[in-house]
Amino acid sequence: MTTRPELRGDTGALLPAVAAVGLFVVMAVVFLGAPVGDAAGFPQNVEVANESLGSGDLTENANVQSVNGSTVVNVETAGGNESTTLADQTGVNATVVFAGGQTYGVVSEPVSVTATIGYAMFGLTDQLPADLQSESFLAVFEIIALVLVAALVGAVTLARREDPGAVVSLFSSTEDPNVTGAVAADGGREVDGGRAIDGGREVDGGSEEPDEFDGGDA
Amino acid sequence: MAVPAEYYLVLSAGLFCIGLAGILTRKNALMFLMSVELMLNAANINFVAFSLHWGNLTGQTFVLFTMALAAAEVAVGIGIILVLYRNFGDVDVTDATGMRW
Repeated sequence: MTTRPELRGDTGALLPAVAAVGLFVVMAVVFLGAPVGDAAGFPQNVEVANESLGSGDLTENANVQSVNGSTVVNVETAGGNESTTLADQTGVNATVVFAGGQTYGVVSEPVSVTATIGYAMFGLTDQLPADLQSESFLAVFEIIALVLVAALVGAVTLARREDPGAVVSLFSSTEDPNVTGAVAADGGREVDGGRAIDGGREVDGGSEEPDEFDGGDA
Repeated sequence: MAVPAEYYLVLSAGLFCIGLAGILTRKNALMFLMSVELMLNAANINFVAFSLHWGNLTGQTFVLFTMALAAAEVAVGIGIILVLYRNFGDVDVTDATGMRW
């Protein structure tokens, strides 16, 4: 009874794996010594709302508050307090900035990598944040569809079990008792009656029962 | 603070070498298929890591394409393994030593 993980008995067969370990050591040394530099990373925030709070630098007099489920900015001016709603929810990343002679209330939200992948794949590159570059990948969908269909058809065609005398083509299978020497997916081995079935196995009188199976142990 | 790309590369190299070791030591065709998947996903890690490193989404998008390709590859691979089992009664890759015309 096995009570702990063990190598299989044939340790000599594991010898080639030493080459893989050696390759890993070489790669690790090279990668850790490579001058890769710092990661640029994805942009953290993107602006989604701009509200002009007034001309001049009011950042000293403005403060962001949460009031009744909304995010508002209060600006103290000479004429009294002025309140501007920036967002209809709380917990957003809201700041007050001064730019171009005006003071703005800015709400920003984190860049969603998943959403931007969607924009890139559908060619909506104008939706991407300005400092996030990508190529337009619309053609990928067509290629994926083509490859998947080809793979499905290939797998089904390869895996199809053929009866003696059955002609299996790409989309149809017809019974033809007179067919001789038909080319099957297994290479067209000749068997009794000149029909090619399940190449590589001897068949008794057209029976499909395998006679040499050992249970399929690897 | 982003994780430096070197560590992603070492992770990817480890995954790749595990897959390589599997291919070199195993005889089961299904284990072969799994090992090839490991090596393919090691490449995917590199795509994503360098996507983050350069701040460019192209790698992220290309990984989706690669994963679809991997799914297609597995479909074909399993079809081949089924034929292997049908013809040799086993999925041992060392059984199939000769090409059939």
